[in-house]
Amino acid sequence: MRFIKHFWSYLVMVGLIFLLHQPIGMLPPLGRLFSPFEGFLQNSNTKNSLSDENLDLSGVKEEVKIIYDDNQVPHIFANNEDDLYFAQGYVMAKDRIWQMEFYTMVAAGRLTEIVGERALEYDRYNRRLGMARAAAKIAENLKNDPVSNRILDSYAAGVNSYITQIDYKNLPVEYKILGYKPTEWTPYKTILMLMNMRSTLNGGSDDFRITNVVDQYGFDTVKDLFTDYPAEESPIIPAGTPWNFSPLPVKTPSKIMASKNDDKLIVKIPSPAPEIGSNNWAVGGAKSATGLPILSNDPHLGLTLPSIWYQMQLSCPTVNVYGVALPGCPGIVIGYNKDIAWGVTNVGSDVMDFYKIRFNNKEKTHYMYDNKWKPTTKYTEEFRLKSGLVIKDTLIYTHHGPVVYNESKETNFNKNAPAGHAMRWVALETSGSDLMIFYYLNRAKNYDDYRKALTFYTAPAQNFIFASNQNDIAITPNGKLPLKWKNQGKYILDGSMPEHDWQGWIPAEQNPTVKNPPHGFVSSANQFSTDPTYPYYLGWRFAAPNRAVRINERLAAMRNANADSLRSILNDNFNVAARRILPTLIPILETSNDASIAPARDIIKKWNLMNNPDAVGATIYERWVKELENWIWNDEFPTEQFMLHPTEDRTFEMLKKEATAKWFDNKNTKDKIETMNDMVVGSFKATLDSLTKYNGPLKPETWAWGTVKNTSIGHLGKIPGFSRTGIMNGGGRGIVNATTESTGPSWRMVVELDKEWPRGYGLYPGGQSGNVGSKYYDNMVDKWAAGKLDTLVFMKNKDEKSVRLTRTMTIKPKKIKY
Amino acid sequence: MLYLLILIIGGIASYFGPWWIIAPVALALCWWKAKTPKEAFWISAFATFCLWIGYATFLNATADVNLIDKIAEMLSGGVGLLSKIPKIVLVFTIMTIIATSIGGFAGMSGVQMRRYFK
Repeated sequence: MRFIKHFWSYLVMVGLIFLLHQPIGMLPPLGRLFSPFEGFLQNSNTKNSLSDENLDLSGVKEEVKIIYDDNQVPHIFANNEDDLYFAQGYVMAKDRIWQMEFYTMVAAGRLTEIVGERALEYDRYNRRLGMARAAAKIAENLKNDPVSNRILDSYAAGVNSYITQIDYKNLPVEYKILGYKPTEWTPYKTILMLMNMRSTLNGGSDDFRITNVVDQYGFDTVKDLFTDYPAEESPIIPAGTPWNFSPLPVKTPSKIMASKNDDKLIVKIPSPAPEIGSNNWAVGGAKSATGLPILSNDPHLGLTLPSIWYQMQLSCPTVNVYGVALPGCPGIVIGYNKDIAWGVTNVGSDVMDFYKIRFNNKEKTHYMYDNKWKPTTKYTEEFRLKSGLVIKDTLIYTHHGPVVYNESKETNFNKNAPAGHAMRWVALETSGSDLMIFYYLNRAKNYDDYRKALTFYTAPAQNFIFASNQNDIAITPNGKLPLKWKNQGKYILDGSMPEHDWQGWIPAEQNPTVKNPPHGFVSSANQFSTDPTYPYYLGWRFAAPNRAVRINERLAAMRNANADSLRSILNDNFNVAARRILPTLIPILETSNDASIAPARDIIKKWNLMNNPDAVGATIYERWVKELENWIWNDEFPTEQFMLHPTEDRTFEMLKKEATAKWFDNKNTKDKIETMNDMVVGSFKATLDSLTKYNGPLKPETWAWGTVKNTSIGHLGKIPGFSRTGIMNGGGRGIVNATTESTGPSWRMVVELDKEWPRGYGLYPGGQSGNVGSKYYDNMVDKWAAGKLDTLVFMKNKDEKSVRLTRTMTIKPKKIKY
Repeated sequence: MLYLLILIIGGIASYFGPWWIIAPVALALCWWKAKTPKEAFWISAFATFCLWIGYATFLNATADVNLIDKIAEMLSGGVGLLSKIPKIVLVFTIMTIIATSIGGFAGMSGVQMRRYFK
């Protein structure tokens, strides 16, 4: 008793410290986090945070100078390549280590370890995609590739050099909130980061959804509604470009899909994300004011803070390049050097296919293939929860690839793949080294170097655009493209038929490409790579042609272009889809004498077809066309039953040319046959009702497109206060300025090539620092929203003087004391 | 005097040590100087409060970005009852509760434990 009387306060104190020192459930470690001496306030940057630094680090061979400009972009000057990539790893980690690690945890399906059980289904899904296993294999393979191995090791050493010296006070605040610490960086983690990009850009499929349509309506309907080439298109490789090769023969089997299913396939693979796309273009010297090419690129991705990109200059005797890097990956992904500039957009060909698998028994030890039982391979996956609990899951592999879900369960993330469907996915290809394409592009001097660099790349296939100061421009949809028979993988394939396996790869030199086309420019916006004359099958559906049509119209009309004329295309808000369909829809609206729709109808009639931030017409159009699409299709092809809707292109064709099509009737109304006019007018009213419900009665301020769209840049870890919302800008889905609610141009770059020294302009919606306590966390956002570009500082050498250079970090080799 | 000692020694220790170092400091100083558990509790609690809130105010005043607002939004999610409280009040209240309870009980235990051994 006496002990308790004298020690209770001590026990209370120790108990409190213990509880407040670690995360409990969703609660962060409150004591540690809120202590001004160690917690989040230590992450506040002040004026003094950014000053010159001298570091002695073991790992560098010679002195490295890192000069930061006024936008906190590091310009790294090293004397050899090893030191260059070491320093790149070091400075990247200094600004972005939390983000780098977070991406690897996503791809490896290990988020439960840092955020707990709520990430379990998401993790399970990512594990079942098999990305971590493929990444490990790639990392293993690259040990035999001398250049990749050297770069990856140097980079990892730089990251680790930063990690080992960081103390708790200086940890990024996300680590403090979630209560964990960075762990050792390895080349495997770099590959995991690249896996993330493969998954983002190639990780979607509608194979299940369209198969459900075939099962219900038959092939004739599918041929009519889900055509293999759109009615309006402006392909990347201009029509008429000759194919100077003899294609490999590909034989189409008589049976082109797996046998019919009794029930709807409950599929849990996400659809390819239409907003995840990009634009790039280059004009040749004949169209530019200087007589030399100008190149532009804006990759559209989910908008996040910290940003997906990080600007930097990498310079050593063998290379001098400026551009953006991916956190966790050595080299520059999109950028320019003295002689050339390059950029990427996603190809979006069909590279994820599903095979129906017949297993021999419940244990799924064997599956039928080529009339024989073939053994499966099983792996046990362990999920470690934050609480320490371990959950196990068995993953089955066939020779096609992993079986994504063994059985349909309500909790399965994304509600996607049912029993017995194996996935063949290009992202799991372990050959090649994607990093090498960037290594060689960073150093490229001319068109031949560009062509050579392209051969190293696997996935996700990208439209690599190129321009040089020798007045060459070119574009190549590039990457490993599976050799398929026509429509192979449009539907679920039969996993027991060898004819349904991918037939090999399209020979790299036969990937579509064009150099210096007669019209004087090259461009891409995720549309079809080629017109139907290309001898290989790449996919039946690509991004809607709207952005491509607009870009090509503007470039065709362009004369005496300069960087600013290309910038104006980046910000082009013209709505090509509206131009195509409104002349059909507006006369139908005018047949209605419902007075309630008159004010909105007048607005849309007077609308200049620009998706500008203040345009109410854009708001009405964008919401209406979505609603109309649903009114027409969702009765016959309900998305909630995993059915696919026809494309916008097909819908528009039907509205324009097939006014009496049976699909206009709403089959859920028994005693009434609806007409096209009923759909158009009814959906217009419904749109106005829903806009009124969420935004109040029609007013220019509250119905302005920028307000309704409410573009937001969310924090990567979804921490509310760390996001930016309510960004007023225009654009939208299918607009060249592709800024939607949560996706958009994640980097905008315009480069004017020059014989002497190129001029680069660019920015991204975020900031160089990953620290929410720094003003460089989101300093470029407002300028980005306003459509402006920064003038980039591309230094000729480390002694170059500029008022924009603010501070220097000098890294010297650490002297070893004996 | 005791207040000043906790403030100064605790401040220096906190600057270099872990966040909870204020507790052993208050405990030791109260063992040495404090008369009653009640006195020890309140002096230690007040000193720790002054130290934390004082330093937090300084850091916040010199910072480029208002992190307190962002952390408050993180806690409240921007909706509900918590978001009605001014952000700095919410964050400083949490700091105050942690600082006073850790500091207070530490100081108090110093006196109580001294009495056990004497």
